[in-house]
Amino acid sequence: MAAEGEELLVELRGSYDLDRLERAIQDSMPLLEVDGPVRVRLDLSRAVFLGPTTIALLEAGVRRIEEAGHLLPGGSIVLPKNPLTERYLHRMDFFRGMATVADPPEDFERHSPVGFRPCQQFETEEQFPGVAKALTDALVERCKVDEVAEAATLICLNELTENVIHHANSDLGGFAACQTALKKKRFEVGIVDLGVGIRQSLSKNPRYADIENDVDAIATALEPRVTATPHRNSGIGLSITKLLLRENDGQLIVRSGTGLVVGGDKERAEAMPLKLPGTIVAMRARTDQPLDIGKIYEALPLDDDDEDDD
Amino acid sequence: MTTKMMIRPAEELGPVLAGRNVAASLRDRVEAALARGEAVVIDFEGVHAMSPSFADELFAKLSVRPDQGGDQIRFEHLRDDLQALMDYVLRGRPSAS
Repeated sequence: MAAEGEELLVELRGSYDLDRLERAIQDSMPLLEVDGPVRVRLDLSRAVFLGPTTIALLEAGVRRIEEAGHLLPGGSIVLPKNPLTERYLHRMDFFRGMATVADPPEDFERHSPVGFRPCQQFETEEQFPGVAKALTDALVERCKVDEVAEAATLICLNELTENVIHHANSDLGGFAACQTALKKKRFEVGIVDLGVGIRQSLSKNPRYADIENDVDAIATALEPRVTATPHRNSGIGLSITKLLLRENDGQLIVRSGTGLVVGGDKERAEAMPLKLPGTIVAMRARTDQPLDIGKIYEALPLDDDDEDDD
Repeated sequence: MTTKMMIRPAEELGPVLAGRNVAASLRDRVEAALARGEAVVIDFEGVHAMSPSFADELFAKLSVRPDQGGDQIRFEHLRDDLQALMDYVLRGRPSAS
């Protein structure tokens, strides 16, 4: 962590796709831990690729410092050596998100985004549905998925973004970005908040107040009918999203505190060495496999007795 | 003769129903009609999908249980998958909040 008023160096090297989420967290951590005035120097010279989840994480980190009044003028960005990486980051509006640090000029003609959406911040009940719709539109316009997959994606993204507003308890709200990978037949959405984290949020419900670690808290939150606020929420959205992505051979990745739980394809749960201040929820769906939420609804159990109530 | 209120969510909100606040507004209209002694019919023709939050807010928080509503409230053209979702959210709230 930088001392007060010092330059804070954030250096990104190589590729930061979703499979390297932990490295993205590690290399973003200086931004996430700042608690005093700093000048940010963001060195991207050796960066090759920043996935949407990493971009959302970095933008959240910078916005946090800015909102706290810790961001000093005179920051800088060292651009990627690879011009394709630089152009990609321009298209993802990454530098606009970093404009309070430094704002490098664009030297190409900008077109409307197709198949991706730059990072969007959402802070209110009124904002998150528009973000969910914009992210879904990115999938539809590039991958030509059917109406069933479009509806399922929209529903899941509504649920995931609404979760941030209802549970993160962050003044900054959430940050979300997405990108389609046509050749890999994948669609990735990253949703980041720097709020209280899943474990602390769940602890508001006495039923989950004694969960001892972040991995168990995330795993519990992924179960149906688990919510911090049963009077308002039903605790179904996250579990439905996990089931949907499992059927799709996709993944739902939830990282909060020191916990990591991957649902869907290649499921795993792991305690991580770094404590993330907040929560990352990333979904990676296959665009060549069905995304049918109706099938998930029809398979819901008829007689589960794990009901939450006030 | 009982007055009947007809609501067609697809015409108002589109084929995908999502958002807890949107559903709460719809439920408020239903509750107001029921309070006036009107019967309510919600016609889901054209609705392709619905989010769990929307279903919970609309169905499970109604003062009249949709599965015990008698003639007061009726749902039409509710697809099988959405009926399954409705049943699921109703089981999550044994009594209306």
